Amino acid sequence: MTGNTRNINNDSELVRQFKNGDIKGYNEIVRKYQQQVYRVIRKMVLDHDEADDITQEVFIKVYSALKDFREESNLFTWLYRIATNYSLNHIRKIKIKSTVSMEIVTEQIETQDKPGDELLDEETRRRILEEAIETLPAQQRAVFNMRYYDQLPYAEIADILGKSVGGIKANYFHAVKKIGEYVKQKMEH
Amino acid sequence: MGSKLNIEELKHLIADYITGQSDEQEKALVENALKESAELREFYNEMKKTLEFVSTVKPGDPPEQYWNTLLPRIHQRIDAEQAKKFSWDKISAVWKVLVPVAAVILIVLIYYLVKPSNTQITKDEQKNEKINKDTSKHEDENRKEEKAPEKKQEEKIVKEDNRHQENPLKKFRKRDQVKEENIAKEENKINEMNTQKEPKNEDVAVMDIEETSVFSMGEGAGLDEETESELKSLSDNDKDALLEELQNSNLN
Repeated sequence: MTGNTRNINNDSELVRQFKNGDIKGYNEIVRKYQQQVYRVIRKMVLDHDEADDITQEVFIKVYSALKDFREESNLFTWLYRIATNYSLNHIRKIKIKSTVSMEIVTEQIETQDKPGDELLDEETRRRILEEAIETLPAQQRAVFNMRYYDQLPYAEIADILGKSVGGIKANYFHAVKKIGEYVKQKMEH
Repeated sequence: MGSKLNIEELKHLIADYITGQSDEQEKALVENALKESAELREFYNEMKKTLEFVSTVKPGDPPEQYWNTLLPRIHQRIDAEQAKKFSWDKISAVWKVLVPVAAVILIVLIYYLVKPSNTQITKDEQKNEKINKDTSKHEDENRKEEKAPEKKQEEKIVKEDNRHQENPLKKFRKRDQVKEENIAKEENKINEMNTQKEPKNEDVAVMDIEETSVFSMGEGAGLDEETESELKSLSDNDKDALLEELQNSNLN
């Protein structure tokens, strides 16, 4: 993962430390990966409070499951998988609620903002992008975030989601295409 | 990856090409295809706009302070869950007492369910009593059946008595008559038995001696003095006659 300061050997040491009963190993893992985990979740659920709650749940899960972690995959991939699955479950649970909130946001944007890419402030852009991402199926949303923001290799994304590399590439292509179509539609109105 | 990719397959490489995530081979393929295909160039422009728009939106990061508070809050929740789990342990400790008690109760219940209850015993006893009653009833009926002819006879007598109720004297006579008849019947039976055991001449002689001893023994024969003196005063002929009479009365 480009931009991430992952050290697999150090991760193994932290895991071993925790398994030996030293809580410092766990604390170090949280400090090291909390921002990445939070951002993965935030990009999926789009709301800070929800992202905060899910991030805590993920690390609580890590606390209870780390003793059984066999290091067949590297630690960050394992964390990422947990975070993505928790986020996907959350999205599926609040699907109706999200649809309603999206309609409200759309209405606000339509009444407040003028068309024209240059005139849109950052907050409006974020709202449009979030709306666009919310239109994506959960898996496409996850793939878009992993590939665009976190720049994970297709093979790793496929491993996390348990899908084929070809399928993940197709997901990414369709996700970008749909976001573009949504944004273009918003800009034209 | 060969150079025989169609336009759709090349489109799949455009996004990675724009974000700089393509390898050298993919990059070369896309650049060559963009030179050759107007459709692909149009698609490239659309994708570039989209991705530029996305890149202008910064991820919604929380304030820096958030990262300092996350770990303590996670530990609070872990502690809370462990405390919750501890309370479950407490409950399970209660169960440690309750489960054996429940098991004992269950065993006792099963024991009483399997073992024949007092009610069952009572029922069995009642059944036995009923059987005994039935048996005794049958026995009574048999007895009754056995006694039936006698009863019938008595009933017949009662009926006849009722018939002659206007003359109580006749009733008693009749009853006496019946009794006398019964006695006579029994005597007949005895006679028949005696006839079957016909006494020999020797026996008769012994009997004569015994009968004679009645006259000779006097008090030894159980006669009072007056009777004894009367017997002594009898002539030989009278004595023979009396003896004959006595013999006849005994035989009859």
